[in-house]
Amino acid sequence: MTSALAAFWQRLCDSQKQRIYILPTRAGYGFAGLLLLMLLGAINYNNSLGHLLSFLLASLGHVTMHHSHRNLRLLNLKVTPLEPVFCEQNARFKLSIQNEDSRDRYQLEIAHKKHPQMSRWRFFKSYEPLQKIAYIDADNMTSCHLEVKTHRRGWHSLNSLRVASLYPLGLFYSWTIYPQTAQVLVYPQARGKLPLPAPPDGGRQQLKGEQLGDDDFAGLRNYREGEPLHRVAWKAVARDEVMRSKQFSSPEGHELLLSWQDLASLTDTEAKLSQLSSWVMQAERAGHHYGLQLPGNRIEAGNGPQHQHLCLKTLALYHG
Amino acid sequence: MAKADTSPDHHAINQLIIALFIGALPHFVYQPFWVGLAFVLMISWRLLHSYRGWPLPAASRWLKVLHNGTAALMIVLIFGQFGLTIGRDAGAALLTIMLAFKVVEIRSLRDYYLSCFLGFFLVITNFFYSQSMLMVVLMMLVVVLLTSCLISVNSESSAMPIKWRLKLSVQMVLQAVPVMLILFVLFPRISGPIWGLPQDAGTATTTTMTEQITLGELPTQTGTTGMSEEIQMGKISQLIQSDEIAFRVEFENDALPPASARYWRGPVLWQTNGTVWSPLPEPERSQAAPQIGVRGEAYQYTMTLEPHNKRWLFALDLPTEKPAVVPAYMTSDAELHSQKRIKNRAQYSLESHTDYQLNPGGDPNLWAALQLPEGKHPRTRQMASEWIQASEGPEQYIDRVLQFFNQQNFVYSLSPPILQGDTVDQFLFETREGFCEHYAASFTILMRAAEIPARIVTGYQGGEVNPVDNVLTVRQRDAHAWGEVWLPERGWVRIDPTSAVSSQRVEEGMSNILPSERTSPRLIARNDALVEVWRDLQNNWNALNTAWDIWIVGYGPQIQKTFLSRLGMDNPDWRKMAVILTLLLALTGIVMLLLSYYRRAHPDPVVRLYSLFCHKLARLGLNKSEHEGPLDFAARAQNHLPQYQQQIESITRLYTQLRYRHASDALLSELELQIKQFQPRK
Repeated sequence: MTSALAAFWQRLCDSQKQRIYILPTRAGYGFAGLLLLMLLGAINYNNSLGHLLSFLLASLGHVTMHHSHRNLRLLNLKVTPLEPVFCEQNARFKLSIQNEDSRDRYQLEIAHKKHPQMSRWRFFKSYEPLQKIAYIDADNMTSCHLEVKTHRRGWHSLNSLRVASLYPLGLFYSWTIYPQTAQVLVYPQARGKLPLPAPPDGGRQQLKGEQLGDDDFAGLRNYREGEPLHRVAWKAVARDEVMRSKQFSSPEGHELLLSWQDLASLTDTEAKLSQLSSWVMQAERAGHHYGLQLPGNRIEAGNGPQHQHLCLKTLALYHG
Repeated sequence: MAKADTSPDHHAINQLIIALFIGALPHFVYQPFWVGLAFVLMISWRLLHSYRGWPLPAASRWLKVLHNGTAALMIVLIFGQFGLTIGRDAGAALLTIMLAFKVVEIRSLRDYYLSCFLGFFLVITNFFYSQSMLMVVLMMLVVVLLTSCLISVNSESSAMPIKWRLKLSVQMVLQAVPVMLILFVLFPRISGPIWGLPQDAGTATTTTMTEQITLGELPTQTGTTGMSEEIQMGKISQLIQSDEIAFRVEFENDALPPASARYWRGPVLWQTNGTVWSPLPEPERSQAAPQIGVRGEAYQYTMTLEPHNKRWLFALDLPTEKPAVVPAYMTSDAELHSQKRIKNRAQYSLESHTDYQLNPGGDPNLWAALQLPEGKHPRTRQMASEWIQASEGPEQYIDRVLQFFNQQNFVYSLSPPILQGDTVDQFLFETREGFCEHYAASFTILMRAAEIPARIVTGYQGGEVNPVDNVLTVRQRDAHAWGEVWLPERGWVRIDPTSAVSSQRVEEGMSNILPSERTSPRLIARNDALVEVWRDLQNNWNALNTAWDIWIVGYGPQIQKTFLSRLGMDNPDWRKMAVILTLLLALTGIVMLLLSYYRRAHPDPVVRLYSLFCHKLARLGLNKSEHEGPLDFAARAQNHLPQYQQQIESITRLYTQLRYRHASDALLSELELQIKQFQPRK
């Protein structure tokens, strides 16, 4: 008994942490008008059952409010950012909603705040719907992806999430706000017509030969029989008991320096960044060794997904 | 708000059509046939669209013209039928028809909401025609269905099967009951109407008592002053055809007067032209209050009077005070007269004495009780003057007259031959077949002809006591008329000449005179045991109806006051009601909120998890029945959902292992994981 009461109290306190707002919809106002009309009719005709019906429907409205509130409380949201994207692509987040109440949830609409500094009086317009969740079972969880169109490079945040619902009768619109910190990196859009620059003088000579060589450490892969034992990454074995071999690569192609100075023909900073981003992609695809030269920032030549990400991240967060 | 206005799907529309059809069903009876016809045609159109793909009005211009044209035609028909004032009938017909036309062209959610709301309005229009329990049951069904329609457009059918929607709407309507009851009891009632009522507003009371008694055929040219055409229905013989309830009486402490004393006093008639009897004009009757002397115990009782649109209030003969709640006064001929017409069911408490003396010291209107129409009833007058001369005083004369009725071949008949010419002479000396009003009228003439002041009292006599709740119900068929004579020292004395002819009528009441077919269905009327069972059923049903009529249907400003006073509220007025109403509503709101945090969960987590599994399958229409074992259920589910065969198999195995063999935390978390990941879709 005491434990049941304690659990009851716990739920009550938990639900207070998240404020739920509720307003009648247009249909709700219509319903209220209908009730008023009905009551007037009932009074005018001295119709007792007319009174009864008006009161039943008014009470039904009240019950709807409770159901509407209950549909949104004790929800636990978790947002995980997914991989970085290029500008104009959709930034993706994974949303997991945990239903902590013993009742199914229906028709949840997930929206996010488009502009962080929107006035609170333009509340509804500042949110953009992202996803609809038809139901979440009691004491269960569901997850979905949220995709947000990106328009600017840099960190993209969802700002805050609004979970809203018209359930059960569409008479009330209830919503609750979850502030979010999860953000996805947005690279500058890979766009530009300039050709990849030629390797500068004094750069490395073009090397021929196998792609996997001994020079540069390129990563680990699962050990295959027949590979020399000195290639085994013993430290990694000690960590998780899986045999892996170190892979080394010999760069194929040129070593490039993708430089801001080469873009004097472009005036706009964003266009320059887009061009650089495009070059990074091209260089990576072609297997070049490439470095990046920005005003006040320089990345030494390198190669591989890590390097590419570093370059693109630098471009994404560049402040002119 | 951020809501795309999409069109509702077929299922939602079909559901709405079913709800509206049930809601409109009673109107097929109340309204002209073409209203029902138009309704059925229009919803069939929509159904044919759903099932056969027939085009909707929006599909082509011609169909649009057809749709709008028919709608316009219907409006014209309604105006043709009901005239230009929109009253109850025209309003209900208009609503029924327009709703059907709207359903055909539902295209957006907005249309759908509008149709649902109009559906709720359709429900209330039914209550303007009937407030019986059956109607309420039917209409509650409609409310539940309409609620489930609203749920349908606010949830997806893949998430919520129709069964769940109905269950939720029943649940919501039931949850709405407590607040409804609080509002019903405590919401301060206003006595309507707020604005003028159209002519057809009244409830279906067709036959009630009128202010006049007419013997024989009414001359067609009698356009008597200030009277409505209802005079023609004023013959008590027509009232006797009606089983409608006139009023109900509840005696305090169940102390009922004996059957022979159950005279319910109504209008008193003085004036006659030989055929028509009517009351005294207003100035004379309100001249002086009657002087009443009483003996013995008083009867205390509460009357619940059905609306009759007249001003008199019935009371047990003789009331000694006027009612407290209904503004009324007592005329000099001891008739209770309300200040306003009784248009709604009225309830009032009274005290009566059956042993009384009325105006023993004289009556200012005695002259009117001696008036006879000029030159009429010669044979009657002649007989009266012979008999009074032969009698020693009025008492002996009265006895002689009663003996005359008793010993001559007078017959009490509900369908007497129609009287023509001199009605009284013809009745007394020729036909000798009649019922109470014939006897009362001819008796009074016989008295007056002998210089004894006499008058007719109309009202009801008898009534049925329901053994279940001891409520005495008086119906229109109990209508009665009797005589009163004024004797020196004794005042007005009631003489019922009908009892001299048929004592059965007075002592056993009307229902025993009526053929048994009137009181029980023809089929069982021959079998006494069945009739007995039928009586019992009827008594219980009547008691229920009485309570329903008085406390639910009749719950208005007056009964609200009575009821709240009984509950202990001291002199309830709207301010007190509003305060208590607000407090109670706030309290209920808090209790409802707190209750919603309470959860009933099975103590065993394994069972909880398994029921979640069953719940997920139920969403797809796979319901596990009580008697079905988990293995059988799993087999059935696998049959339906072959793509989830493996998951169902594994979950069921884990469940049976945990539940029936041994429990371990590792297995439990495995089950939890599997069930949470189990997201079946069709």
